Amino acid sequence: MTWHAVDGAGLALATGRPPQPPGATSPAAALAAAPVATWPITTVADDGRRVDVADALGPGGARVAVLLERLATRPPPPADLDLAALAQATPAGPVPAPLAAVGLAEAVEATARVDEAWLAAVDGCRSAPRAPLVAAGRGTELEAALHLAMLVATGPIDEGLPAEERVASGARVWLLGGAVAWALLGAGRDLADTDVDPFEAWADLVSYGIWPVGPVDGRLVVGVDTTSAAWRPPGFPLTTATT
Amino acid sequence: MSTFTTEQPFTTTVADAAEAQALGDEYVIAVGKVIASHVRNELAGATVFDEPAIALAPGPQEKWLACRIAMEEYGHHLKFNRLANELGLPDPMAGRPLSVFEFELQSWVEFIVLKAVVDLAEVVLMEDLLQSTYLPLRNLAAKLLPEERFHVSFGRARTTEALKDPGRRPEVQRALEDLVRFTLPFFGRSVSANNEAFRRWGIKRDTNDGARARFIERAHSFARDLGLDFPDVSTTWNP
Repeated sequence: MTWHAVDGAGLALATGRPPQPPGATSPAAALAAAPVATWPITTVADDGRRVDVADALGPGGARVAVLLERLATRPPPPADLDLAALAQATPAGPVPAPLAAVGLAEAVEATARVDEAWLAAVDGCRSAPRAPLVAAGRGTELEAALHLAMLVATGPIDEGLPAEERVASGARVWLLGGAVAWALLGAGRDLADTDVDPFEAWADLVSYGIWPVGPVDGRLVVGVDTTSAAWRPPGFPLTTATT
Repeated sequence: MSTFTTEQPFTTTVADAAEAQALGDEYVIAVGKVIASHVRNELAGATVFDEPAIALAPGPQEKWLACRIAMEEYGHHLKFNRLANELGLPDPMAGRPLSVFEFELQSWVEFIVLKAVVDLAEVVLMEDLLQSTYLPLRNLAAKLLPEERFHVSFGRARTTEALKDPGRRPEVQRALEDLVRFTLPFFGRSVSANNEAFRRWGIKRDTNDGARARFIERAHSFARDLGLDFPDVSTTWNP
């Protein structure tokens, strides 16, 4: 029995035709080999049985599917999104600094002064899930989740972004990688030695197209793309620090 | 064997995979080899150089730019892989990546010089594909070249910046010499049946030595602009 990544109509992503065996050895391996991503994306076996992204990725897969769906379909953030609370719950721990919601260009400029100790802590946290996931035999699921995240995120993140602001999209993909890996690791389950997913709050921000940059000069900077969707953070006029 | 020669190559534009297959196995095999090589090497570049560079980056901006570059190279791998799938290539990942990917990246300085040098080699190869008879390959090269050129300009700018600290000059010089030597085989052997087939079918125009010479000229110019010594290297390669 082999598996194929297919679009919502059940057609192979590579050819746009019904999938032909042999495919991949598992639903996750099929997703990891998907050449392009449409949304929705699912997997189908040679015998026609279907397994969706959430189930293909195993524990934590449902959370990954939610994040990917937001990236693919780009709904506006919910009206009650608490930007300050989510932004202050950084992957390296709470940062109760005043929030500064700024445009992308200003956010990129601010990256040169991001708190380095904080960034190093996020970096360590970001890479922590890989070893336990691989040791638990879930390396293929991790690769599939990262691969799909890259495929789904690249288009929306790139769209309308001036070339010089590559750093902004790079940062969001960097965060997304951590978010997806932590979602699979699953805080509160056997593999994680913590009850808290450190990327949970920032994963929500990134999946809604918001770029939490980090602590900069005593403020917590959040970048908002003012060139595309009309969403603006309620209560946070751009380029204004607030407590 | 086709009747076309390197002096009088095939010049008709091939619009898609179906037209390529209608031309016969020889064309599909030749264009497939070029595409498969890019499938493997773009992934190898992202995996062996760009991803490790994210951790080597000295600051947040460099880290996220490295991440962006890794994302772009991975995207290139996927886009070439899509061409491979359209053409029905059995397994484009089956061959080995080129020897340049055996270079063991140890420092951020090596990474920025690598972007200026190794990605320049990729630019030279992709520029040749802008004339390819296989239209999907030509169009993809045109689409990806701005990103490859950005990688080179990123490497040049950051290397220039690094050299403002005179203490780093020896490290930059060493990286340049090592990377130029690692990159020369990237273009293939001087006498190459594959390259002849590519040129007979108009998939490429450059000989391997011609592409290597253009790379050396441009890399030499980069070194000269920065006051670096360029290693004494040959435009031919016959291991």
